[in-house]
Amino acid sequence: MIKLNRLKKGYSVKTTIIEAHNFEFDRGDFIAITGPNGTGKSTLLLILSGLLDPTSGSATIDGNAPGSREARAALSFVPDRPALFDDLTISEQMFYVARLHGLKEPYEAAIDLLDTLDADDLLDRFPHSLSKGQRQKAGLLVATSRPFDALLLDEPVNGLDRDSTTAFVDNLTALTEDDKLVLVSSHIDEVIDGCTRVLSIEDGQLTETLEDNP
Amino acid sequence: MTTTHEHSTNSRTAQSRLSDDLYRLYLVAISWLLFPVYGAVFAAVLPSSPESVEWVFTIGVIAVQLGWLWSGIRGGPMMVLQGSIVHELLAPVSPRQTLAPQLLRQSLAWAAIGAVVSGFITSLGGQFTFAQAGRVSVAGFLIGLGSIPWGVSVMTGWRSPGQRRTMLVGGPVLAALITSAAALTAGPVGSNVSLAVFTVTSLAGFGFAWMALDDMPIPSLWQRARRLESARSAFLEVDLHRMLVDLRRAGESAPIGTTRLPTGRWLSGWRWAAPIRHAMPWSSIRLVAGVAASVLLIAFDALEHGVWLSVFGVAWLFIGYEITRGLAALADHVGFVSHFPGGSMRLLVGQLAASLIFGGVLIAIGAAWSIAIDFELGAGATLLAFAGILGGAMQARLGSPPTATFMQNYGIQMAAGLLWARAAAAPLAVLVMVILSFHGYIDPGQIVIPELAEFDFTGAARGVIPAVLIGAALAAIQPLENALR
Repeated sequence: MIKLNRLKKGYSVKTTIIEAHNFEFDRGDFIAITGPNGTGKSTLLLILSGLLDPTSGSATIDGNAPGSREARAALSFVPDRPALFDDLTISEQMFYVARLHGLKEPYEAAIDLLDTLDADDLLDRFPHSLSKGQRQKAGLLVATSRPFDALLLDEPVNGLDRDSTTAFVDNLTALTEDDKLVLVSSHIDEVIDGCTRVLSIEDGQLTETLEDNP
Repeated sequence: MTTTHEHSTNSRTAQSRLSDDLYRLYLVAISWLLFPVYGAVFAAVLPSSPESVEWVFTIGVIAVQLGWLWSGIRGGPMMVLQGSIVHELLAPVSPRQTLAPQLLRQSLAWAAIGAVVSGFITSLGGQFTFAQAGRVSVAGFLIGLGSIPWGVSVMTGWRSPGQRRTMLVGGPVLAALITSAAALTAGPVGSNVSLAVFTVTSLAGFGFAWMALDDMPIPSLWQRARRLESARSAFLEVDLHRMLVDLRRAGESAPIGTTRLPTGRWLSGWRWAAPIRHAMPWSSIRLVAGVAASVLLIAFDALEHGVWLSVFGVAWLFIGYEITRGLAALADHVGFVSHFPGGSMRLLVGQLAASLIFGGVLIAIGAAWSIAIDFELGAGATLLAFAGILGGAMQARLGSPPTATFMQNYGIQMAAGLLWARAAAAPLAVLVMVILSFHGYIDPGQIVIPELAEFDFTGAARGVIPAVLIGAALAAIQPLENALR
C-alpha cells in the first residue's frame, strides 16, 4: 500500500536526516518505527501524510503522491501532539471529522477505541481541560472517527498509563486484522512487542530489524 | 455517541463564531473612535503637516503591498491551525472549502486593522474630523482587505510550475503596481478615484486567491501552524518573550532552502559574521532598507515634521537591531558556543567585526553629513541614531531565546515580563528622544557646541559614537556575562 523509493529528507542536499531505500508496507501490517530521539521517525510520518516534502526520492500511497486527494482519503495521521479544535468538545470533533469524510457518525474504529480506552468521560469535554494522556486519547479518537486504510501514529502512547497502552495496542492489532495498515513511531516496549514488523533508523538509514514478529 | 452531538457541533460553532465576530466588531469600533483622540495628543506634541501625513499614507500603501507580496514568497500571510490542517486539509475534500472562510475572516481582520490605523494616522495631521477620517479609513480597509488574498496567490504561485506560477505571481504583482500607482497619482488616499482602484484590486485579489486556494502548499501551512500553536500556548502562559520568538519564526520560513543551523555540522562562512539564526543577506537587506529610508527622509527635508521624525527614529531602531543582534544572538547561545568550542572564538570575532563594520559605515555617513551639510541637523539625527542603536540592542535581546540564567533566577513568567518590559523601554526611549529633540529640550547644538566649540566635531564623534556602540554591544551581551559569572 505504501511504497518508499529512495526517499531522502535533509536540511540541505548535503545534510541527510533520514534515508529510506525501497520499502513496501502492506494492508494488515502492524509496523513500529524505532530509533533514538531526533533520528527522523516523525519526519518520515510527516512525509507520508503529506505535511512535509522529501528532499529527493518519493513515497506513494496506493500509487498516489502523499497529500493527493486519494492519499488523504486512505490515510489518517495522529501527530505527536494531537491536533484538536479548541472550540469543540471531543465528541463534536469526532462527528465533525466523520462528516468531512461523508459519514453521519464516527467510524466504527473510533467506537471500538472509545470502549477500549474507557474514554466516555472525555466526550463532552473541551481540549483545554484535558491532561496530556487524556489529550492523547482524544487525538486517537478523533483520528479514527473517519474511514481509513492506513493509520499513522507518531508516539501515540506517550502519556498513556500502562493499562491504556496495553488495551490500545490490542485495539491496533484488531485494526490490522480488519486489513488496515498501522504504522507507529514509538520506543515503548509494549507497542514494539505488538508489531508484526519493526523498522529502525540508525545513522539516518531506515532498516528492517525484525520481520514477521510473532 | 448520539446524533445530538452533531446538532450541538453546528450550533456551537456558529455561536462561537458569531460572538467572536461581534466582539471583533466592537473592538474595531471602539478603537476607531478612540485612537484618533490619542493621535490628537500626539499631534499636539509633534505637529505634522497634512502633506507629510498624505505622504505617509502613500508610502504606507506601497509598503503594505510589497510586504504582503514578500510574505507570500516567504510562506504566506494565512494562519491555519493544526486541527484544521490535520482534519480538514487532510480530508478528501476541496481545501478551498476549508480555507475560503478562513481567508475571508483573516482578510476582514486585517482590513479592520487597516481602517483603524488609517484613522489614527489621519489624526496626526491636525484638524481631524471623523467624516474626513472615514474616507481614509475606507481606503485603509480596502488595502487591508485586498492584501491577504494577493499574498495567498503569490504563496501558491511561487510554489507552482509553469503558467500557473506566472499567473498567480504575476497577477498580484500587477495589482500591487496598479494600487501603488493609484496611491501616487490619484490624489488624496480617500479620493473617489483611489477608492475605486482599491476596490477593484481588492476584489481581483479574492478572484486570484480563489484559484490558488485548492493548491495551497500544505507543508508550508503545517510548519507555520506548529510555530503558531507554540506562540499561542506561550501567550496563554503569559510568556510574552517566547510568544514573540515563536511568532517571528512563524513568519520567517525561507523562500529557498533553510537558514537553520544543522546540529553538529560545520559552520559555513557567512555564519561567522551573521547572527546564528539568520542568513546574512536578509540582515543586509534590512540594514540597507533602514539606511535608505533615513537618507530619503533627510534628502526630502522631512525631519521637521513630527510624523517623519518618528519614522526616522524607528528606522534607526531597526538599524541598531541589525547591528547588534549578532552579538545578542551569540549572548544567548552559551550552549551553542560550548558545543562548538573550537569555532566559538571565530564566531565571536566575526560577529563583533560585522557589527563594528556596519556601525563604522553608518558613523562615517553621519559624521560626513554633520560636517559637510548641516551641523545641527546632522548632530541631532546622529543623536537619534545613537538612541536607535541602543534601542535596537535591546530589541535584539528580545528576539533571542530566553537565557537559562534568567529563567533560573526569576522563573519563566518573571523572566518573560522583565525581557518584555526592557524591550518596550527601547522604542519608548527613541520616542522620548524624538520628542525632546524636536522641541529643543535636547538640542544637539547646545549639547555639543558650547563645550566642544574649539574642538573638531569629528574628533568628538570619534570618541562618543564608538562609546555608544560599545555600550550597545555590552547591553546586548549582558546576559552572557551574567551566565558566565
